[in-house]
Amino acid sequence: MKVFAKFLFWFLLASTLCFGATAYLSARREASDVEANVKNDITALGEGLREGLGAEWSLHGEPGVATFLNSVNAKRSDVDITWDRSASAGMSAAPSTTIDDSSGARTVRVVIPVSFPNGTGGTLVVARTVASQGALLKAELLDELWVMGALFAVSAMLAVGLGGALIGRRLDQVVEQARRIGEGDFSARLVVTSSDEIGALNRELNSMADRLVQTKSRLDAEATARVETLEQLRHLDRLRTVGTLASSLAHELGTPLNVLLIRGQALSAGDVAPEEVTETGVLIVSQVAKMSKMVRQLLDFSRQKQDRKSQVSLAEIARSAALLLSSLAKKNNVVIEVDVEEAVSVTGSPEQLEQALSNLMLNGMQAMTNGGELRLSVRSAMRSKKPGSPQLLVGIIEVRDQGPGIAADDLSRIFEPFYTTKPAGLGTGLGLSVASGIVEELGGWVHAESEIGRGSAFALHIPRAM
Amino acid sequence: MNGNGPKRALLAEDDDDMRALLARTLERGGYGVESANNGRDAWELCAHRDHELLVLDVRMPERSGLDVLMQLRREGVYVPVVLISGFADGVEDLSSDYGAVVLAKPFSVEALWDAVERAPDAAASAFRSCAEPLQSTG
Repeated sequence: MKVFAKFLFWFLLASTLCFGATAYLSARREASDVEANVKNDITALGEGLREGLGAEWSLHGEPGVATFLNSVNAKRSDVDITWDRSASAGMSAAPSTTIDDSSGARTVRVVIPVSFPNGTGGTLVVARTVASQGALLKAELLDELWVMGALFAVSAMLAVGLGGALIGRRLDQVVEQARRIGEGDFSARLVVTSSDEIGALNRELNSMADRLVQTKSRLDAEATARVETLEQLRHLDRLRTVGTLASSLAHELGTPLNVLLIRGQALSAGDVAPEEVTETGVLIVSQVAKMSKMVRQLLDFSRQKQDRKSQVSLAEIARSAALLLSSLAKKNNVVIEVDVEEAVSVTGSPEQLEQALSNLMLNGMQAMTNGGELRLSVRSAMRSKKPGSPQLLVGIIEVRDQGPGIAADDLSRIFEPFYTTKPAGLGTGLGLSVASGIVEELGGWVHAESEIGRGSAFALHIPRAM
Repeated sequence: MNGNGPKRALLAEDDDDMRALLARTLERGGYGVESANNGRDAWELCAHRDHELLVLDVRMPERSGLDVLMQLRREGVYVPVVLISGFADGVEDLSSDYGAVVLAKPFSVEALWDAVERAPDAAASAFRSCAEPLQSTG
């Protein structure tokens, strides 16, 4: 209702001022009209009296004049008639009017010279008081003010009543609906009963609510789909790692199997001298131990539950990933150097962090086609994700390779899923985007830097609880 | 061909147990064995050019057995070579171009001797089939 009250106030104020101005102007006109009327009245009276005086003088002479005037005076109490015998000669015959405010009241006087046939005469003065301009004005204005006041009161009452019904209550409903929508409640709709602006507003709000409901459910569906896709990507990536490790394992197993084969065949063919049997047995057992260790590593990796979060030491993750990929590294002529600070821990899933790190390490190894050093380092620092963002205390695991480096143009694209510059079959292009997803879920990020000819460094940044 | 003493063989294999086993097997077969546990040492040893047989593991530190083979052939050395490959090494196709016999792990002693026997012919036919030196497929 406030908007209507504001409108009403200014409207009435403007109306009042206009009304007041009009009232003032008409009051002033009234007042001067009154004065003019009085003037005319007493002029006419004076001239009529002059005629009468002439007749009286002819009939009764001087004394008749005085009597006549006295009787007129007595009859007419509103005017004051005086006769001045002395001032007569030399005066013009026209009446003149004066207005005199001296005695506190406003007096209109008409001075009429009268001349009798014998040359005598006098001056007839008819006077009447009128209310002063000021008093007249005041009286007029007061009247006007009473009218205006009544008008004001009635308008205000009508307005409040009508305004409340037509505007105030309906706007309150609109406000209420907007508040509900703002809080996420899309269930209610406004009743549309008329075609005026507020009715139109109601209709539009309703269709807006309909569209918001649709958008919300679409966004919800998309968010769910995205989470599912992320899960699938992680799963695929995990399978890829398992696949890579499995093929590496199969490769590795060949050698101890070979030793077992040859030694076993020798034993079964009786080709082992008695004094060598023990040694042969020991060798056989040690091959089995080697193979078991390789198999167990892979089983551990593929069996692990994914998402349990705990306090994780980044140094442990680094060492564990280095071990996991050690045989693959050897086959690629890559030496893994581990340089860690011990006390850096974060909250996260150890399996996921190991997967993220091994993805980065695999990329680094594949970049170094002629072998080289892959450097893992762990440290803690204050870093911000982007220039201008607040700084966080983060644990950093960095993988630095001595590969050919990445061009600046490619560097901005490498985080895209499936983007890869590796030959077909060698990389899925998923590794970096999955690693990125894993740390981003923990509130962190992957920082990449590279220079052509100088290799690349990829660093997982994971926030540490303050 | 060196007529003095046993035939000389060069063995390159990084796994200690496997290397010991193969050395022993070759010695039992009448070879004097020189061993290396990585590709760089293997190359240095075969620079002497006095081996009659090379048994090279494909995957080794420093330098692969395949690489050593390819360089030997580039330099025109067609000594008999047995290449020992692991699972999915992908060397089978290349080896005939370079005149080596491929032996896949795990192999028995018989398979080893069979390969050793076929190695000279393989090397010879590769030698014959190239009029000009082989290009590196690097």
